[in-house]
Amino acid sequence: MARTETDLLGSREVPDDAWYGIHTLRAVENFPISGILVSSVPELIRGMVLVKKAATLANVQLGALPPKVGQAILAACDEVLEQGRCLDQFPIDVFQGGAGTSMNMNTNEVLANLALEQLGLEKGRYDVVDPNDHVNRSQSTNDAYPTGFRLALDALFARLATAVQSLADAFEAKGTEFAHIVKLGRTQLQDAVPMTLGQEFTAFGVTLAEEIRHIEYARTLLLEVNLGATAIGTGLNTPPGYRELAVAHRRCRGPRPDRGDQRHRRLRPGPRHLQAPGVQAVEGLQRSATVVLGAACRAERDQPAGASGWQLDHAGEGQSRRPGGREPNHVQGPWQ
Amino acid sequence: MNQITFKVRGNDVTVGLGAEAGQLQLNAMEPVIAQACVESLRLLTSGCEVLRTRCVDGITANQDVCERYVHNSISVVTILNDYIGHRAGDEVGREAVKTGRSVRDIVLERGLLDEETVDRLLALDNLTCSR
Repeated sequence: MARTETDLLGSREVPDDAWYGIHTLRAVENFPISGILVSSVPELIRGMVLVKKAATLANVQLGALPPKVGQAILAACDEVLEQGRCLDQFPIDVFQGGAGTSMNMNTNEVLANLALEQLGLEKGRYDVVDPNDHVNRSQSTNDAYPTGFRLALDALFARLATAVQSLADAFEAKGTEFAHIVKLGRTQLQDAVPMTLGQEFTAFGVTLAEEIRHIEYARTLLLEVNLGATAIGTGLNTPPGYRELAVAHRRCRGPRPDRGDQRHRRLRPGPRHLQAPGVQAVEGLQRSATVVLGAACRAERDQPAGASGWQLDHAGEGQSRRPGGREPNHVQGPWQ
Repeated sequence: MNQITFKVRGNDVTVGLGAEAGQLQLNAMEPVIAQACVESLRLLTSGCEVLRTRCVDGITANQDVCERYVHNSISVVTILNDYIGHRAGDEVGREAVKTGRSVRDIVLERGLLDEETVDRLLALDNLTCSR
């Protein structure tokens, strides 16, 4: 069973059980590139829906949307955010042309149809809740998508920070455990003067923990967004006051734990005419984290040949047959 | 973990190229920037968790092995240099390498230091400056 939807290019049959619409259908056909579907990246979906929620809140407040439509869209957003509904309704490839237009329209269509359900209407009744005129009100792909994926990265960075801290803590715990064990330092691939094994592990922990500061800084950069800038940064098609409200409303995600300067935790309107602000810095910070992790793993791997100063008692399967020791596969094995 | 870092470094190049390729009022490359960043962050997060739970947490130390290497190494002569002089230290080290004998034995045999002083200087807490 299918419903007919129409756009500028013509009509298409959309499956009845699809919460997306004709634009998404066309995007699936246009971009069969990586096979990595947006549905496999729920963080991206959440980021986009958070943008739609903030925009809708601002639009309702400013009278730019009929209240009933606005409330239905907001409820639809919460169904996705809080209940995880329709996360499997994003069949488009993460690789796409159009600078994220397909991602934006997929989101608009899914939320429009969820909003229609809230109003007791069937899917496709875009004369009541329209993906463009209502869900995308006061927005362009060129501010919605950049903001959406930055929010996704912010969430992923938070998880990385937790993982890095836990790893740093684990190294520090070994530092304490081995504090009384003396070993040789190594410089220039030769024996050097003595140190404790604990000092070595503590050093890994301290160096890793320092990366968390960089991660937190990256997050502040990511939260500087261009929501409200619309197509090219001039704010065309937004009602007065929309930009500040929409950015402020992004906090509707829920309370964030207070950590240091609260100002840095809020979205800030970014320079409207710049593109990809902060993202390159973000990737550079990931690079520094990988340098630290890579160095730590090489150090663990490059212990003196045959030394077996330490070992893993529960190393995984597929170990080498090197006598006298087990390889820590999770450090060394991944050298495929 | 190493493989993860290589992949992330490659994604870093991708992001740099994508950021640079913005076209006036629109950067059309943000989808690949997003994909690269998402992938990198997921890989790094998983990598840290696997490294911690399947490696670091389970590491045990072989104290005997570690200390044996210390005692048998000629590098411990470094700590004696302030007492016997750098030149004498060099000669002790050369003898140790040539004969395989321990630094301690050679120092005592040559009468460079008395036994009590040598043992105090070569004690583990002194070698690691933790006294």
